[in-house]
Amino acid sequence: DIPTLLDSRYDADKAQGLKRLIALMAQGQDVSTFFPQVVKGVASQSLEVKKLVYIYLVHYADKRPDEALLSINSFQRDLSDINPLVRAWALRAMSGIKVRAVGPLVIMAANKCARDPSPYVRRCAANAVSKIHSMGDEQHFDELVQLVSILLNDNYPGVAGAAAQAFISVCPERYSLLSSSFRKLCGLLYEADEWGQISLMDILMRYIVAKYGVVRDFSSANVEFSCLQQAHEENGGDFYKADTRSSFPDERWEVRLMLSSTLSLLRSQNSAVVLQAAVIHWYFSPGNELSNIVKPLLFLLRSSLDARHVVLANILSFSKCEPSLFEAYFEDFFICSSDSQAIQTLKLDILTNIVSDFSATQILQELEAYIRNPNSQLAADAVNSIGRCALRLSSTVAICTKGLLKLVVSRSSLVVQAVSSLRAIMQKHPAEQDQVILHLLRNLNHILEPTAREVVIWMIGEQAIARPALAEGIPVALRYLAKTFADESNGTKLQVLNCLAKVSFFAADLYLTEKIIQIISSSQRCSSLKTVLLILQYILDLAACDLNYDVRDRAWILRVSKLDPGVLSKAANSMFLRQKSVPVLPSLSLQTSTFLPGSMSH
Amino acid sequence: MIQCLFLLSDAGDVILEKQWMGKRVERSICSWFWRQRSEKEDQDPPSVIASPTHYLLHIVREGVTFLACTASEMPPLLGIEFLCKVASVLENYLGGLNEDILKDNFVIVYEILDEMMDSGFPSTTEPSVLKEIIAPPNLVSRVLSVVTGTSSSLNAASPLATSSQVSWRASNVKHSNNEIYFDLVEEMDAVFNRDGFVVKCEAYGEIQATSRLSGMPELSLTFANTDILHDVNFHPCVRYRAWEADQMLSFIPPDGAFKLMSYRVKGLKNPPLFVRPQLSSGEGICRVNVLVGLRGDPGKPVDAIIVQLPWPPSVVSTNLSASVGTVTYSFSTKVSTWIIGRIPKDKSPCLSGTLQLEPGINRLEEFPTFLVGFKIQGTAVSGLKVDKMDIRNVEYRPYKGFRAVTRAASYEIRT
Repeated sequence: DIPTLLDSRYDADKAQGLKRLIALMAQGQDVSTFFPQVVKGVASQSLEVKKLVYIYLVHYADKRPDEALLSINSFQRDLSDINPLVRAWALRAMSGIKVRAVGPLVIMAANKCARDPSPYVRRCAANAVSKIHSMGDEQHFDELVQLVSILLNDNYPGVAGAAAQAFISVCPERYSLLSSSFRKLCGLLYEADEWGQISLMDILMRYIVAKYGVVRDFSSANVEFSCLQQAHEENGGDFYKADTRSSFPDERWEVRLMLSSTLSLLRSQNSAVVLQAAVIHWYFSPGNELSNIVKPLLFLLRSSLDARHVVLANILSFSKCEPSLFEAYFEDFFICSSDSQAIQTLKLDILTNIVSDFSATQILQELEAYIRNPNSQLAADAVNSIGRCALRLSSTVAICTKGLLKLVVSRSSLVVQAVSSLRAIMQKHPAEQDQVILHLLRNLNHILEPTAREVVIWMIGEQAIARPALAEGIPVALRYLAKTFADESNGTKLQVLNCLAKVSFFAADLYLTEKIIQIISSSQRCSSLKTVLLILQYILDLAACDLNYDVRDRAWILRVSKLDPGVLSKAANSMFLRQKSVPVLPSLSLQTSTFLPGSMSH
Repeated sequence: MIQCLFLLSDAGDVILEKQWMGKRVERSICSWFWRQRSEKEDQDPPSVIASPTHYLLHIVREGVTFLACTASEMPPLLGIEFLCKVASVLENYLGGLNEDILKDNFVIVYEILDEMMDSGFPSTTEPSVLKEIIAPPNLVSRVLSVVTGTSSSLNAASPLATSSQVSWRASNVKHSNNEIYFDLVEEMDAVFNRDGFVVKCEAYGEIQATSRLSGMPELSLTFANTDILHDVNFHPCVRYRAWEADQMLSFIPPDGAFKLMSYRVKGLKNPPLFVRPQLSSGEGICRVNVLVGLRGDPGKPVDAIIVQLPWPPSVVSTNLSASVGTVTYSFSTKVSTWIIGRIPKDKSPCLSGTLQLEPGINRLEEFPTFLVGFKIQGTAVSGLKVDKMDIRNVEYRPYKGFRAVTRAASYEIRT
């Protein structure tokens, strides 16, 4: 019945048929077989039929290019219609039919519409320019560029916004077009619609970077801006490079103008506009005015709930470079129970970046509350964050270690994170170790998780070398380990062997020096040394018969290196006793600070 | 630029698709997306995901997923804001947003999408302008179309909004009754720690206005206490300089309903409800006692009080009873819901009972966070007060109305 409707004389029937076609199209079905009949309706006088026909044509034009060409005549007639809507739709349809043959005609149409009295039509012309360009025809490039420059100089803000978008898609490098209209575009910025504001800000920012280079030079390389730097160097402009916290205002009027025009945009309801304005201020405003971006960004977290993830990712990059900006606002990053996993990790990361002496107690209390949360991933991440806070702020080390030690005993599911954090803290702050190691030693039989046991044993081995105060505790621990060796997991067994190796090498050295110095208290040392060596022998024997070949191999190496006092033992010595570097506890979320904030990479 | 938009139902089926750029995006991307989403059961995937071929941006409204695909670089928030705009325009037009309504109105939706985005970049998104170009479906026009056999969704006249001085208002709006209403809608977020102290308490508010005024009125609105406002953002119609200078909102309103301003007040000291939970566990049983009461006096009665108690996975079953209101327990989500309604003057609501823990677990190691919901009609807890509102440039005296309501958004009690 659709064909009969389409062929009928009455516009109402045609409209009905077309509506059904479009409903089918919207559901994804292919109705291109009706193309010839629909094309006939393009000359209809009824607005509704026209509109529906245009929609259909644009959708299927690339499948039936020849038949689409039949309708060009009526498009051209409609371009002179009284109703600006019809003119705009005709242009839109013409540029939507991407057939190369009509390229010149479309450009002529766009030229005509760019000078149309109605701003709606002019805006359509700007959009058409991008579409023509995307057809890939190089011959008309200059004409398109000229069109863009005419439209950019338009007085109507909506048109200028669309022209900015055309500029980005057609000729993003032609900054010369902008130099004459820079002041005007900045003035139009507030009046333009929100989408136009985004494009305008984008081109203004690129223009300034091309002319002046990047004002604020961050240590993380900005790939995008380095390309612009090249363009700028080619243009031969002067290169101004301020240090990261210049507090005097910028003398260049363009930068000042752009900053003042975008200041009010930080209060827009559209989160994309706010973020773009924040990025401009981030790169160009002097140090003391940079805090303007903080409150609007934080407000976005509450006012646009869908945009939270992207905004938090950008705040993370900002907080890495300038944590002082966000320090006072740490409350905004507290986690609610409705946050998704990704948002929780981002917030935790930001909290650890901005922790400072004044906020440390409150943030640590919050982290402690998260540890009690039923969500195990959140609890584990919170423990990790406590470790990172301690690494960042040495004033918190004592509290953090106390808390982590409590966790080691009480919560078996979090032991691994707790122990890894402790290990990192220990390596950075060796002064606090004694109590911690003793505590861990005493609780070794309660720590059942194999990964955690491995870390503890490694710590014992590492620190035993440097802290002779632990000498009494070590043989006890080793005796315990010898008893349980057969039941440990493979990873743990390897660590036990490592630990033994370190202790015995160190002990062997000590033994030699003891013999030379002959201190009376060495009798105790000697006996414990003997114990250590006995245990070593016992464990090596056990390990030699182990099921896992890694364990056997390592035991064999150790045994051989002990017997041979020459090169091998020196090599083993250096392997086991070398100073280890302080680990950096990795941040929980993806590292994106090298990418341009506000772009898709965040 | 945005290449295409898919509307997905809550089962993952494609309700509607619209392609903008030349190259067609296949539907298989939707099934890829749906698989990603169902892999993580409780959590939504982040709003922007990278698939092997495209970037996918999505928002969810009432079970319908709006999924946009793009293959080129663009500001991600532009896509997300556009999707939010599409959702709100569709809701405005169709009076609701769910699968059935969308299926009834394919053509209108398709036309709206066609008008809102041109070659991948948003073009006309203001609802008042769109309504002039594409008439919304309503009962009258539907009846007319059945009776007379004609149906036109398009106006023959040119849209006046495109030729007026301001892009959001046509120049010759006429209403018989001139009136303007302001609704202060506030949401309160608070977090209480396990000792009952307030960790943070703040209010997020929006001023939603509905204007039925003729001509081009110039409005100015002043507040009594703007210094309590921490953050604000405005509708594009508000003149920023007037706010900067005198803290006055000066604007020409769009016709119809719009969000004038949103703001946030931090550091509030007066959360209206307190909840005192006591959990003591031992030998596989946990005793629960939760007390709810009013704290301070918000001025108006607190309604629709409801407490959600999501129990940790180690809880197997619950046996709870309440002195006021009803308690229900859902086995699938392990959440108890206690509906109190309004707190009576003589009794304080108290929930007590026991929880059975999984065998093998003696004590409760993880402590749940309770969520409280409530509604207070007639007052804004932040304390923001409207001082006066003037209208200039018109000959009539319109009716002005103000209303305020506060709801709880993220009111959490840690145990």
